[in-house]
This record gives sequence, structure tokens and C-alpha cells, in this order.
Amino acid sequence: MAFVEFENVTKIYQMGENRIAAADGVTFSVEKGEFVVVVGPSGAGKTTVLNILGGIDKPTSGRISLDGELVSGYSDRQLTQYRRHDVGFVFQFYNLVQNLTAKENVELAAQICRDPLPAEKVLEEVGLKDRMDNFPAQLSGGEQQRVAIARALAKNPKLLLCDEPTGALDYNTGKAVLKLLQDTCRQTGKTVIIITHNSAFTAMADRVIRIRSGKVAEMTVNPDPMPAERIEW
Amino acid sequence: MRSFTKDILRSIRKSQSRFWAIFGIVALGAGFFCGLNATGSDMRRTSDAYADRSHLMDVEILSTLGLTEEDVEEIRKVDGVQAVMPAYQKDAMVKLGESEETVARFHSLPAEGDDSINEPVLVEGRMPENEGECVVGTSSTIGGKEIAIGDKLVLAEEKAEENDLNHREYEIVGLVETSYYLSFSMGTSSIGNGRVGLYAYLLPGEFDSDCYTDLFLTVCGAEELDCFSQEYRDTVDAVQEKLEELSETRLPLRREELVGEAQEELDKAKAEYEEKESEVNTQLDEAQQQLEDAELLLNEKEQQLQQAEESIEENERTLQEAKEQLDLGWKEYENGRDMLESQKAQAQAQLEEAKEQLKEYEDEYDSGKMQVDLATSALGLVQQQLDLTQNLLDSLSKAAEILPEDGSVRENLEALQKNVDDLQQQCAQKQAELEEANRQLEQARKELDKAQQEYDTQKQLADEQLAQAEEQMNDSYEQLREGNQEYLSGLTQLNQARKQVQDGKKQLEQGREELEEKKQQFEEESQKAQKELRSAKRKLQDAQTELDNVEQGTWYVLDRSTNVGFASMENDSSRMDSLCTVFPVIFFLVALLVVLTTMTRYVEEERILIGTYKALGYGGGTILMKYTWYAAVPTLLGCIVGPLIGFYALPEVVWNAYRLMYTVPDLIAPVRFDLMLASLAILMLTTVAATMAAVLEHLREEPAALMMPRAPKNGKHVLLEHVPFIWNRLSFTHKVTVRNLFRYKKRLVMTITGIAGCTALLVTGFGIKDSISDIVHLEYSELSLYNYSAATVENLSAEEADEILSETGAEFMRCMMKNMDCSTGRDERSVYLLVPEDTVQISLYLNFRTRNSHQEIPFGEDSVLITEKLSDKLGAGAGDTVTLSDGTHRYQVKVTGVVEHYVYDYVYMAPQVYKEVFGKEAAMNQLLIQAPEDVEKMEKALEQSELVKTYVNVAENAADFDRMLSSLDLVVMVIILCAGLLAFIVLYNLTNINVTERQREIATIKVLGFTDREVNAYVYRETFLLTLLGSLVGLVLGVILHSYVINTVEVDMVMFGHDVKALSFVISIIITMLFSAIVNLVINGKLKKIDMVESLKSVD
Repeated sequence: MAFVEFENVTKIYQMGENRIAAADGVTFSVEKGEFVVVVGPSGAGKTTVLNILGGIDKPTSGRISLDGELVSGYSDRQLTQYRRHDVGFVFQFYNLVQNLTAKENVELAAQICRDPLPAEKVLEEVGLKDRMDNFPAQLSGGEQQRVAIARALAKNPKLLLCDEPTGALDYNTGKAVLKLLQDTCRQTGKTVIIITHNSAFTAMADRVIRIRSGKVAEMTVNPDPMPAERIEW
Repeated sequence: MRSFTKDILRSIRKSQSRFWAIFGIVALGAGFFCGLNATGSDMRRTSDAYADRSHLMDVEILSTLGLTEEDVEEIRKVDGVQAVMPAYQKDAMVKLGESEETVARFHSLPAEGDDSINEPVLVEGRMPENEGECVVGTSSTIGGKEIAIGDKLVLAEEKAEENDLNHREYEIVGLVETSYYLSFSMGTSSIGNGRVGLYAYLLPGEFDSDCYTDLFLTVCGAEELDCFSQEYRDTVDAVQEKLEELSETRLPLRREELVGEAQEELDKAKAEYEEKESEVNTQLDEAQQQLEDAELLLNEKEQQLQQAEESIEENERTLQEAKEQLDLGWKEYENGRDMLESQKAQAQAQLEEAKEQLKEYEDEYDSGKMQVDLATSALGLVQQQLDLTQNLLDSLSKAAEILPEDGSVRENLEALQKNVDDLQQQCAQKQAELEEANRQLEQARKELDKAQQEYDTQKQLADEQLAQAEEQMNDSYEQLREGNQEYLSGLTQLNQARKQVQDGKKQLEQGREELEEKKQQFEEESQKAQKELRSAKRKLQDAQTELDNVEQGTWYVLDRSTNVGFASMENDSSRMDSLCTVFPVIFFLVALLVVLTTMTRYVEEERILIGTYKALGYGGGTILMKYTWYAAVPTLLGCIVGPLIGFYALPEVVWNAYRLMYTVPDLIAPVRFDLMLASLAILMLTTVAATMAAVLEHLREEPAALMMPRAPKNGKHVLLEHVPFIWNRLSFTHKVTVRNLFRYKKRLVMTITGIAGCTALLVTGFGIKDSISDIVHLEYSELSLYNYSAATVENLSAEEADEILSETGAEFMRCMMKNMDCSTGRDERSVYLLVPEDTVQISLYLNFRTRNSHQEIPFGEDSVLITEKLSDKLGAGAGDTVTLSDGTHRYQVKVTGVVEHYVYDYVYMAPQVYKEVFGKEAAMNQLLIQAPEDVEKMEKALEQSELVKTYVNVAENAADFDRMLSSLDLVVMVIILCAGLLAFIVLYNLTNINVTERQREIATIKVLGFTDREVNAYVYRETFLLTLLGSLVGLVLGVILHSYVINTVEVDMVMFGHDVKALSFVISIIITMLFSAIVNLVINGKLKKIDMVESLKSVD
């Protein structure tokens, strides 16, 4: 059994008279320690997939499992625990708490976990040793995203989910963040799933899942992923 | 524009909670403002209408000289006077069956017609039609006993005086209300306990008086005016002035009439006095003369006695002399006697000597005789022998003749013969010797006889001489004895004379004593007579002075401000007015804050929309209009709905509370458009201004900038972080909370303000309750230590008090209680003057202490203590001087201390001070009692004693008081309710804003895996802290507000407690927290609804 399994997952939104299927029978699986890129155009349903995988949304039907646990059957309460311990989320707009310093933002996540990593150490690893006590407003976008990644990592999750992690960043910074994510995956053996509309990222993934119109159009395993520094877009 | 209008309407529909929040707070603020502000004027309006309806007098004239028909006619002529109604008034002690006595004020019923003033309104029964009938006020009670129709008012048995009522008993035929007696307190009287307990109306004919006591009149044009307005006052003042002018011409006339009669009587009395005076003086002079005569007589007698005494002394002297001579005679006689005695002895001795010699002779003779006898006897013997021998010889010689002659017998015969011869010889010798002796004896005999003879002559001579001397002695003795007897009789006579003199003296003494007694008696009687004369004279003089004083005379021209009911209604309503200035301000302020934050937030939310409108080419004004309308509509609605409720509800609540103390009709509570407009203007102006300010801030920016998300507010280190001691101890989440608190400063200020307002209101509400309930507790359990008090007859003596209570086992103390007026330059208040019989024992019945420190205040012989409220009102403390007045006299008293006290005002005065100030002993008329265990027995004793007029159980008093003050509970409930509403609206609004503002943050932490509870805590901890902070600020504000409210709502005769209990603070905080918790529950649902997907969206 794969580490992450999506089996015929659908998500249907009732918009007035219309039923819109954001996910329409999505099926894929991911192995442990893989660096996965989910790619697709806007509105293809990739964010829905991410939301459902991250436990912040529930599928209408289908089966999802992580590390052998059946996530799709979770209650709200169990989902909260799932988000808390199993998943690390990195948002497109970082979503840092403005009123907390970098370190505190990391601690905010760490303090509710069962087995957190020390905040200072994680921040050091993402290269923010000297900016720990700065507030988000005092940090650049890249730095903020690093804080967000550190916040996700500090929870020591089974799965790191990143929603357009470079979406709000300039090219170079984006690249640096991608490298950080790839390095994290390689060094810690964490499963990292990145969602993006940018096909250029596929080159650095172990596994690429293409989504189109709510379905998995293609899933390929890349035997020789490129290091992040070398990809271009 | 149509779609723009649609947008406005849809915005409203979409954000209903925001809309209603604004409406709610505005309605609350406006409602409170209008309702409370209208209350005072509604009270006045209702009273004024009542007064107009019942033609309440505008002016009341009381004259010290009484008012006559002519006075009435003259007053009628005064410009501005509309109607004049002369009337009678009389205070009397009455009772109802067996009830205690109460002061009743009897009025004459107003005449029918235009001049009818102060019309009583019949509530039940009918008006008096016959003599001996009356109607009484509905609020009347006698000793807690309700009065019912058919009861009989019995006037106390007192000697009939002038101006009395015709009957001693009046049947109650109806119950009335009158605007003349608006309040339950009906004023003071000069009789009884000084407090009018009920009023009654009688037919005018019941008053036996030659002049009117009262005169009521109304003023032209006054009825149309509000009688609490300045205009009314001016109108009435003008007439008052004219009336006072009139009094200057009317009074001398009336005086003449009165004084003329009185002077005549006085002059008669004076003449009578003079006559009596001379009569008394003559009598006194006569008595004096008699006394003097008696004294003269006594003196004469004394002189006589003195003479007698002198003669006695002379006689005594002569007698003394005689006695001396007599003594001398006696001495001579004594001497003579002694001499005689010694002569006698001498003679005796000589005789004795002679006798002795004689005896010697005799002895000599006797011995001679004896010798003779001896010799004779010897001779005899010898003779005898001779005879014998002779005989023998003869016998023998014969025998020998016969007998042979024998030579022997011869011989014997011869021997015998010889013997006889011898013997014959001897006998012869003896014979001779005897003859010799006889001869000698004879001679001795002769000598003896001679001596005897000599002795006898000697003796005879001596005896003769002695006898002669004896005779002489006896003669002189006889003389002396006679002399002695004479002396003795002289002495007896002297003693008799002396005794007579003594008796004479004693009589004289008695005479003198009697005289002295008589003199004293005379002195006393003359003094008494003099005194009587003097007092009579003084009375005459007083009467004269009084008459002379009457010369001035006064009209008391009084307006409604001296009517107890109207004056206190005016006070109470103005108290409401001042109360209304604080509360609405709080609500206004909070309303404003809420509207401001809500609108600011709303405008910020619509930032991009504003940019879009701008980009679409809408002008700034139009955009401004949208938000202005959005704020204006709920404000307008709130300002209509709020006041409509407020105008009705609040004054009604207050009025009903006051109706416990006033006899007043239903409240007239019109909608006050002026107030409504005012609140609308203020609230509209401020909300619109706040909204415009918020919108304009955004309008200034370029559309492009507006469409960009606004840079989130930066995080900042807070000051607390520099205090590692505290900061490092805070848990992580608490640190976040602290940061957040200071991040949104505006919200911080608003929440704290709103919550502080809420807590302050709660503290005030509970505080008022504390203050009120405190009174009863403090007054009746801590300050008054006695549990019964009894009003007794005047001048109750200690023995009488004992008589009443000693058998019941009750502890008690006598004191004097008197209603008086106490004043300083600043104010005058009606007080009770209490003078205990003992300054030490009083501490067992009354606790004199300061309010704050509970420090005991000593009560000594020079103490005058006043109660705290009195001290406040008069502005007089220890060391200041206050004036006590009983209506006729004024007394200056120096205050020595101020004591904690709540109900009524008291002046406690030591009996010594009373005596000094009032010039007489305090007349005890009250008993303070510590009830024994057997209360019933004591109550019975009190009931049965004729000395006790009435008694009061302090516990019942306390209960009555509780009932009276419970009216304020309603006000408290209203305040608490409003506070709750306020807290809810403020908290809901601000938390709501908080949540909306931080939706993204909340979504993020939810994604991070925060449980619902943790999310809630994350948000709510801030609210909680703010609520707590606000509450603490509110406690302080509450204390200030409470103190203000208490000072304004304080009932005149009561001092409210000024302290808020700790428990009230706690309850206030708990209730605030409870409101906050309820808000939290509501907000909790909102938090749950926040979609985590939000966090993924771009910042809008």
C-alpha cells in the first residue's frame, strides 16, 4: 500500500441549480519520501485535491488514506488531530500571524504538536537564524515563506503540503524556496507535495501528477529529478 | 443610481447583524436619554396638571392676627388675584377607637363656585353634608391603622380653648385626595409629636372662630403656566409682592381692632392688679404693726424681770451676810462648848483625884477593919478553945472527984489547967490587941469621914460651877438655832423669788420665739404676696409687650414652594433631572463608540469596493452617501423606536416608585419630540461624522491603491516584553494574547470603555441596593441599640417610668424628644432634639460613632451631637454653632460632634446642656427600651399604662422602612438590565469585529490543527482580558457614579449608605463576565463557521 492513496475522490459543490465537480474521481498514490508536484491549470481542481488531502475540506465521495490511515472516514475532530500531527501546510500567501515574530510563528505550530522540532533549529535549517526575532512585516517575501515552511516542518509532519509556494515570490526567491523544499525532502525523507500551475517544476519532482478538469490526466514517475537550482521558468 | 441604491439596500440586508447592532445601541442610548430626561418633567407636568385640576392655591396667606372679612375683600381687589377663598385650619390630637393619638390637621371644605380652591377629590364615600362629619386623606393612617369610612375620629380630651371645633367626634364619611397634600409627609405642627399624621376636611361651620386662619388665592394666568417654571414664579411673585404691600395697610387696622379690645382688658387687669396690690400692702402693714406691738410688750416684761432679778440678787447678798454671822456664832458656841468640856474634864479629874484619895482612905480603913475582924475571929477561936478546954477541965475535975484520984489525971488536969490559963492569958492579950485595933480603926474612920466630907464639898462646888456654864451654853445654842432657822427661811424665800424670775424669763423666751415665728411667717407671706404681685405684674407687662409687639403683625404670604408636597415633588423631580445627566451620557458614549468601530470596520471591509466605485467613475460624494445612509438608517430607526419605549417605560417605572411616597394621579407621559430630536441630532451627527471620517480616509487614496489589499497591520514588540520577569513566565499563547491586545488599540479602548460602563452601571445598581439595605441594617441594628420606644406623657418621672416597666424586666431609659428646626446660615432642617436623662447610660441605647472608622464619639455633660446628614446639609461640624428653634424661641447651641445616622435628623443633647440653653430641666416624654425576653408582657404593660401614649417596635419600623425603600429596587433592576444590554451589545459588536478582522488568521491556525476549543480560546482570551480590564476600570467608575447617584437620589429625611459592599463588586464583575461568556457562546458559532479554505485565498 502506498504512503498516500487517493481513490476515486470526488468533490461536488452545489452552486444554486448547478452542480460543479471540482474533483471528479481523482485517483493517485504517492510513496513515502517522494517529492511530488501536482500540476494543472487554474480551476482544474488541484487546490481541491490539496484541501482534501490537507484535511481542511471533505470529499463528497472516494477514499483517501495516509500511511495506512483512512483519512476520508475522519470526523471533524479527527480531522483536526490529523491536521495537527500529520500534515504541514505551506500557503501561497504564507499566512504568517503578523503579530508574532518568525520564531513565535514557528512555535505557534510547534506547541500544539506531539513531537515538535525545536523552533530555533528549524529556522536555522531554513537559513533564518539571524531573523528569528523579526516580525513578518520586517521580512522579505522569501523569508516569510521560509518561516512558513519552518512552521510546517517544526510540526514534524508525515506530509508537507505546499500550495503555490512560490506564487507570491520573485523568480530567484522562488527558486531558493523550491530548493529548500527539495533539500528538506532529500535530507529528512519527508514526503513533500507541491501544488502549482507551473509545469517547469515537474522537472524536479520524483512524481508528477497532472490534473485537468477534476481528473488525473497523467501520473508519471521521474527517475532522474533535476535539482531545483537548475530548473527554469 | 438605481443600482447604487440597490447596493445600499442589499448591503444592509446582507449584514443584518451589523445593522441591528447599530440600531440597538442607538435605540438604547436614545431611549435612555429621552426616557430619563423626560422623567423629571413628566413628574412636574403631572403634578402641575393635578394642581390645575383641583384649583390648588397659588398663594396662601396666614396672618398672626387672623384674617377678617374686610381683609378678604381688600385682597380680592388686588390686581392679579383671581379667586380668594378664606378658610379655617386647626390642629388637634385625635384617635380612632383605641388607637394611639395622632396630630390631625382639620381644614374647612372649600366653598362651591368660582372661589373654590384646593378642592379635595373624592375617592370613596361622600363629602360631609351634616355637622359632625368629615372626610380624610386616603394616605391617612393612625398608628399604622388604615382609616375606613364609618370610623369615628375622636378628639383628645383637652380643655376647650378658643378657636376650637364644635364637636369632639367626627364621623368619616369619605376618603379624599388633594393636591394640597401631595406627599405622605404633611408638614409639622406645634402640638403632639410635631408631625401631622392625617388631614381632614370639615364643613366651615365646624370652626368656632371669629376670624379666618388661612386665606387661599389663585393668581390670574397662573393656571396656564407650568407651576415649576420661572414664568409662573414671576407671575406669582408679582402678586405676592402686592399682597405684602397690602398687608402693610391691612395689618394696622386689624391690629387696632384686636389690640383695642385686648388693651382694654389689659388695662382692666392692670387696675385690678393695682387695687389688689394696695390691699395686700395694707394687710401687710397691719400685720407688721401687730408684730411690733407684741415686741414692745415683750421688751417691757423683760425689763420687769430684770428688776426682780436685781432685787433677788440684793436679798441674796443680805442673806449671805446673815449666814456669815450665823456661822461666826456657831463657831463661838463651838469654842465655848469646847472650853466647858475641858473645864468639866478638869473638875472631873480633880474629883477623881479626890476620890482616889478617899478610896485610899477607905482601903486603909477596910484593911484595918479586916485586921480587927481577923483579930476578933482569932479571939473567938481562942475563946472557943478556952471554953472547950474549960469544959474539959470541968468535966475532968468532976470526973476526977468521982474517979479515984490518980496522979495522971491530976497532972492532965493541971496541964489542962495550965492550958486554960495560957489560953486565958492569950485571950486577954488578944483582947487587948483587939481593943487597940478597934481604936485605930476608929481613928481611920474618923479620917475617912473627914476626907469624904471634903470630897463632897469639893464635888458640889464643881458641879455647881459646871451647871452654871452649861446653862449659859444652852442659852447661846438656843439663840444660834433660832438664827439658823431664820436664815433658812430667808433662803427658801430667795429661791422662790429666783424661780419666779426664771419662769418669767422662760415665758419671755417663748414670747420672743413666737414673735420670731410670726415675723418669719409674716416675711414669707409678704414675700409670697410680693412674688405673686410681681408675677402678676410681669404677666401684665408681658401681655403689654405682646400687645405692643402685636402692633407689627405679619402676613405670611406663601407660595407653592412652601407646600411640603409640592416642594418635595420639585426636589425629587430635579433630582431625577440631575440623575438623568449621567446615565444617558454613558449610553451615548458607548453608542457612539460602537457605531464608530462598526462603521470603520465596515468601510475597511469594503475598501476594494470603494476603489471599484471610484474606478468606475463614481464621485466621492456619492460613495460617501452610501455609507452615510448605511449609518443613518439604523440611527434614525433607533432614535425613533428607542425614545418611544423610553418615554413610556422609564418615567412610568420611576413614577410608580415615587407613588409609594406621594398621593398622585397617573403619570402624564407625552412623547417629547424636542428630546427625540435632540437625541436624533446628537446621535445622527456623531454617527454620520464618524462614518464620513472613516470613508474619507479611504477616498483620499487612489483607486488602484484601494484595490490592492491593505498592508496588514504590523506586529510590534510590546512594552511588557522588556520586563522579562513577567514576559518569560507567560505561556506562549498568553504572549500572543498580550501582543494582540496592544495591536488593536482602538478596540482595546472601546471594549474597555464599554465594559467599564457596564460594570460601573452594575456597581451603581447593586451599590444603590447596598446603600439602601445598609440603612435599615445599620440604623436599626448597629446604631439604635434599643428595640422599643414609647412616647409618654410630658414630664415622666423616674418613679412613673419604673411603675410602667419595672415588673416586665425591661431595661429602659427616659429621654426627651422634641421636633424642632435646626439651622445655620446655610440651611434649615426639621430635626428631633433628643435629650437623654443620663449621659452614660445612653451608650446602651444609642451607638455614637463615626461612619468611616467606627470610632466611638464620647457623650458627656457638655455634649451636643448632630447626625451626619444634618451636619452635611447645614455645613456645621464639631465646634460650630447651630440654632435650634421651636417656632417662637431660638437657641444657640455649640456642636461637639457628628455621628453616623441614617433615618431622620437628630440633635443629641446632654441634659446639662439643655438646662443651660433652655433654662429649664428637660421634660422627659420618651422611653427607650431594651425589651426583655417576655416581649408580650412588656407590650401589654405599655398598652395598659395610661402614661404611655404610643409605643413603637423598632423591628416593625425597620420593616416599614424596608418597604418604603423597596421602590428604589425597581430602579436598580432597570439599571442592571440596561447594563446587561449595554455589555452585550458592546461585547458582541467588538468581538464580532475582532473575528471578522482576523478571519484569515483564525483560518490559518485552524489549518495548523488548532482544535475548536483552542481557536476559541485564542480569540476569546483577548476578549476576556479586555472584559476584565474594563471591569476593573468600571469598578472605579462605578464607585464614582454610585456616589453621585446616591447624592442625587437621596431622600430628604434619610441618609443613604455611601459604601458599596465588596460582594457587590464581585457580583458586578461576575455578571459582566457572564454577559461576556454569553457573547462568547454566540461568537463561538461564528468561529466554527469560518472556512479554512479562506486561508488559501489571496488577501482581499
